[in-house]
Amino acid sequence: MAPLAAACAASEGDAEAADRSRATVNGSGTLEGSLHVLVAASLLPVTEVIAASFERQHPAVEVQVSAAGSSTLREQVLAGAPADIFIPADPSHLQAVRQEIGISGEPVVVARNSLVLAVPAGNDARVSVLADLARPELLIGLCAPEVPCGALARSGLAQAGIEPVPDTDEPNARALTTKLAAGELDAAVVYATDAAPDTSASPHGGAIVSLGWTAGTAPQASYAAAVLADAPNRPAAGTFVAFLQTDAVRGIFADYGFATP
Amino acid sequence: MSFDATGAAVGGLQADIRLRRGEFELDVSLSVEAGETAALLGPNGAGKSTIVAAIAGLLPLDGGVVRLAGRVLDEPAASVFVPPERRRIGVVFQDQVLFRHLNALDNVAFGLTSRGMRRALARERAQDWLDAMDLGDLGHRRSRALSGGQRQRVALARALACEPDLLVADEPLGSLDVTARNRLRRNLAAHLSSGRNGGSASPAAPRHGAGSVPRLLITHDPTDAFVLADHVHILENGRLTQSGTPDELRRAPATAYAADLSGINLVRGTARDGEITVADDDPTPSPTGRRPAVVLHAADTSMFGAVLATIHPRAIALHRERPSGSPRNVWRTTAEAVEPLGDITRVLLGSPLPLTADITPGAAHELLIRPGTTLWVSVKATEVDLAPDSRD
Amino acid sequence: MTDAPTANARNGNSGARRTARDLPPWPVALLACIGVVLFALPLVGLVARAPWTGLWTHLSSRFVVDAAVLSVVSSIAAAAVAALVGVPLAWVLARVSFPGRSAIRALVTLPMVLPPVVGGAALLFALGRRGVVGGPLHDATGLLLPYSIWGVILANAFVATPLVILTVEGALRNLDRRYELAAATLGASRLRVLWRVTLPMIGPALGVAVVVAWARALGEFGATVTFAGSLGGRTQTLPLAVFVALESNRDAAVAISLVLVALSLGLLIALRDRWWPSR
Repeated sequence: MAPLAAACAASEGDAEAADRSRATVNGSGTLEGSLHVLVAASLLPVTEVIAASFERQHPAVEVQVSAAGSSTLREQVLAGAPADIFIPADPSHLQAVRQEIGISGEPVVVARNSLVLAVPAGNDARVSVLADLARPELLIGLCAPEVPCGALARSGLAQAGIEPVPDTDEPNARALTTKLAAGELDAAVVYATDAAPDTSASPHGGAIVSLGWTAGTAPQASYAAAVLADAPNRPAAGTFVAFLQTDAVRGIFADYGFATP
Repeated sequence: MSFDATGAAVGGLQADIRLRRGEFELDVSLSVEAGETAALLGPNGAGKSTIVAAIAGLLPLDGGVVRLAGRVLDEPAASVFVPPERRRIGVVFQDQVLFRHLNALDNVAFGLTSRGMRRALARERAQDWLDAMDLGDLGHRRSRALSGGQRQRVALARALACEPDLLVADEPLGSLDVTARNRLRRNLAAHLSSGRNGGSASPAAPRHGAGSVPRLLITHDPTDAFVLADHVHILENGRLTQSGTPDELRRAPATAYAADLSGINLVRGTARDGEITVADDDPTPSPTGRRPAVVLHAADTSMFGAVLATIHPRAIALHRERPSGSPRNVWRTTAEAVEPLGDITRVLLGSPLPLTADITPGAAHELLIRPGTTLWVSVKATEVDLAPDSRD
Repeated sequence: MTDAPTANARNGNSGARRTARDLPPWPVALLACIGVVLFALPLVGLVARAPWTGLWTHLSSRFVVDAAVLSVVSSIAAAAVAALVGVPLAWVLARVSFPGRSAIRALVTLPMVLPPVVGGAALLFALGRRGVVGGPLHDATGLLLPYSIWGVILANAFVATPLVILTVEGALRNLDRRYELAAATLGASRLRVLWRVTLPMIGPALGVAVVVAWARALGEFGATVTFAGSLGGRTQTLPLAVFVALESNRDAAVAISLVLVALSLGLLIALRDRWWPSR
């Protein structure tokens, strides 16, 4: 949907310009207009809750959240999709954006997500430590080295001296958790937010169990929020990024398994 | 002719066909003897295709029996049903239905290899058949590269190559225009009768003709039926309404449809350069006894020897005065009988050439035709169709 | 159709003279042009972004070569499976009247309209290690379809077979039944009729069906990644390689995409004259 929406928006230049003129602070200083936030797929559920909370404080603002893989979103931003805020799963995605589009101010890390060793409910293969990822008889899944969760997992495992033997390098975290939840993998390295230490709390209905990171410090993904230089609604964008750093929002992040700075 | 224990003629077809297709009910008994050509003549929707399907085994009977060459092919009461591939019935379909992906030779060889013959031998036999049909050097051609007449002969060769116990020709001339029809009818007549006389000495003799195979011709065209068949069965609405020789049907049509069809004039004669000298032994009775010789002009100048000329009754124009203009055939005659047949009036003409003419009741009234009236007859040369006279 | 008009039409097309009747009315021409632009634009975008100088370096990398070999092998195998299963199924759907035929037809063409990811997930739940059928199968034989080339072939065949079924069923319905009846009266058994008459006569349509199925299998992504996973040299086909390359190395991704486009386009153009029903 997102690329399609972006394409439509891009082809309706006039309507877009009209939209920009509306998205301003009115005379009395209240925020209004729409605010378009692009977030990494793993942030979608928590961002929707945060957006609802923001809209209660600023009733004249309508927050639209679009989620996709970080690199997909990056391409959309570079192609000129109208957006105010971009929060990828890895700050490296912001480099090209800073060069080609421009970023207003500095990106702010608003949340972190740890990687964990995860197993399907029941743990039939009796996986207990990260070193089990090197057991060839098990079905092991990782994210592909080209995507943030895969690159992060590999560097973390390398530090721990573990050489994993994956049976699949999934192109994104979602595809990996689907297979793990279905029991089609014995173990995988996933984001902490996709698994839970006790089965009842897992977002996958107890199908994925976290065993934590059993070798030293867990690798972490950082979610940095950036206001785009050509943001149509810059006042609301700035306020939203500040809102993300409040204690109330930190509490929401924590509820979803994220760490906060 | 030999007979089996039940008294049925061995070698021929005996079909007692009872079938229900929704509202339509078919109840037909007909037989075709070895060496005979029978025509099933009827309008569209009379049930002709259903009879072909039933005889060929494409449609099982509800009741009755189909017996061919002493074998029972379909008898529901006895739970006998022989599938089409084991019936030994050759079918020439309308539009020929040649296999597009095969050349003429392989079309003819198809039935032989289907019956287990080695491919090389089958091709040899198929080549003999093509030679016999004057298609010897066209074996490599696919059907789209053949003319209508050539396709017709390939289809006939394909059906006959399997040495079937019965040949069924389903509207073999159905899709052709009038000119091609006349030409191909002659062609078909020649090939249907080939081998009939010459080969009866040995059982395998009619190698490359229809020979002694019983033949069933399905058609809606009375000319086809009367020219090609020894016996004509008229089918109307799922029932046979009349059966007989063409002459019998012509003399005493039993239904309005038969009357309409049987008006077709058949004249035997000898052709030379488009002139047909009408034979003295014309079987049509004449009240005036021996007739003087009559010469008909036909547009077709290709035929020589014994021919059968057909003239449709509606193609005969009647006049009170000698007509001027182009008709090549003009003579004076007398009306012998006048029969109102609904929307046409049939006039039977007398000496010198007894013909049947159908005119509108209005025209009959205008010309004041009564038995004994003197009339002028005109027939265009293009309305005189010729076919080789294959009769003994 | 008779032969003569076909021949005339061919002569007319090859002739240099164009009559007014050859030209479409302007709204048709306009919409047709928009259609062409719609399909051509993405291609233009791809070509414009292509890293022409480093193209060969990208394409000769191990990563790409492995994926290309796997893609070619698995898509050809999937097209073969699609023909093997699809043709008999099409024959049954076209020729046998039985209760529930419409339901069966809807069922077997479902993968065409279903999002491929859904199809892949459904395959996983049915034939995976914990699947309804795959579970007992794995317990009994140790056979595991996901994470293997067999899984890739199965996922590809799953989305490609409906194309064969629909095309061949249509061809069978359009085939004049009398050809088969004629063959039967000539003494051919039912199998011989199928093999020597029916299949050769629908040959052009069958050819188109298999090529389109092959092209579909070559481009298949969603069902493959969901059912078979993605591992370089084992289950990572070209489309999967494009997808992961897009994350890290856009030039490589564009290079692979160009190969996919060129391969499919080349084959479709090459076969068009011989196999596409041009009548």
